[in-house]
Amino acid sequence: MSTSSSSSKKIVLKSADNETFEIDEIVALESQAIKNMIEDECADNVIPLGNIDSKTLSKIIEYCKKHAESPKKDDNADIDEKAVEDLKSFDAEFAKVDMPLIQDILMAANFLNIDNLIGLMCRTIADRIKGKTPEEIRKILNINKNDLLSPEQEAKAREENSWAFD
Amino acid sequence: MESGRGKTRMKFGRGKTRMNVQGDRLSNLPDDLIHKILSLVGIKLVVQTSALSSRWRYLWTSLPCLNFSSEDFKTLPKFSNFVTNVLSSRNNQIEMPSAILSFHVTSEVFEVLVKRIVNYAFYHNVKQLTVSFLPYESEVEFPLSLFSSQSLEHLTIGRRPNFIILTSTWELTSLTTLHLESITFNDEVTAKDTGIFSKCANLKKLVLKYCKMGSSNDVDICHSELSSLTLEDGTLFRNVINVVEPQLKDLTVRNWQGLHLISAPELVSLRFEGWQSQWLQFSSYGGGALMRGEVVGVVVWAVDGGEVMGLACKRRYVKT
Repeated sequence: MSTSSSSSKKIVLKSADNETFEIDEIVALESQAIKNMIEDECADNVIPLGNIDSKTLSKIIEYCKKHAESPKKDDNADIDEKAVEDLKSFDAEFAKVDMPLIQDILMAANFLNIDNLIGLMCRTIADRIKGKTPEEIRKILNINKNDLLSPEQEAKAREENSWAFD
Repeated sequence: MESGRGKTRMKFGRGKTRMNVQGDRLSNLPDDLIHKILSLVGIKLVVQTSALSSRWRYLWTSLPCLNFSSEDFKTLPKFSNFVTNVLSSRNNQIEMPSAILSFHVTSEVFEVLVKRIVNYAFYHNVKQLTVSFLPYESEVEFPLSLFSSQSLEHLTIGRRPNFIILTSTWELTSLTTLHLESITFNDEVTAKDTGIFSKCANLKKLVLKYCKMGSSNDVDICHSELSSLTLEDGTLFRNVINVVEPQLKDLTVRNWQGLHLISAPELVSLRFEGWQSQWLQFSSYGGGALMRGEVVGVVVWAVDGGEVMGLACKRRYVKT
């Protein structure tokens, strides 16, 4: 928790395309990186996030709001099962977006250090590539064409690991 | 006071990432995130990602978590061959903090396989190990007789609906969490001074589910550090468990008979579900600091500050 500031304090985040988002500090604290900045008192009134666009940032804020207002899992406290279920279905709905946005959210969540969101995005990507062939995965993940293996290199990779390609 | 202003801002984030790249965003992620995704898909697919692109070519070989399941393979020789190849192709410099094994076959080959993987994992300082046995017609014996690791912190062994017969002796000095499910114990395994519980001196959390024992001796569970104990579905476990846990804070008992709480002065949370009151006994030191208890089923007796108090059934008990 933040040391001195009250929970009603506001934080402003500014996206790469110069859109500003005013949010409660408690919501911003879901990000470990912002939390560190606030604790180290090196956060200005406006925190510029020069590498996160407004579309991604608004999704991330939506996620942090929901998670900030949900009861936290406390070791001894009785966890409200309904709240847990509610959060689960929120997460499931939240992840129903296209792959480019999922990847943007994952990168931004990694940058902002939001552990739960990183986990959710990783699970979502894993679920979408499960049971797929390398060709299909390349399409799903939109693997960079410049990074593709040459036919000879790919043949070598498959040959080397032939025991994994039935 | 020195202000935080002068401090560097680059505490931000966990690794260098280029953002807003067109197209392939994922390949710009740090290895640990891609590993996280890989640890959630089957191991066969993990190896197949070597053909995706040059970025992915050798990524799998440094995966810190291995998850082997014989379910992914049609025959045991294929599975065995696969395991051999993974272990020999993996980058040996990389430690392996986590390993998950699940098997649905039992034979000598299987025994050799489990041993090979577990030894590899121990050699690479595994911290978390989960071994689950998929349904099979009869009881099987846990294939490792001597189980010894300095690094292992979390161990789960489980199988349903049949039992695993445990005959191992253990030396797990760093173990803090032990979860055993569908296990058949014998006297040797649970012996007070030489059994598995006494050989895990740093245990903090112990879960026993659906266990049974092949004899009639009492079982003692004594750890100086244990703070959480869960016993569930032990109707086949007819022996008395004597609990001497000076640090025990949370106790959950569901359908488990014969629990004798000898010493648990720090106990703050008790959940008990069952239909026989004598299933849970407290001696005069068992449950001194009990603050919160949830009791479903029957009246049990708890000691509160030296005085015996009745806990009414189907209600929540909170000391104020």
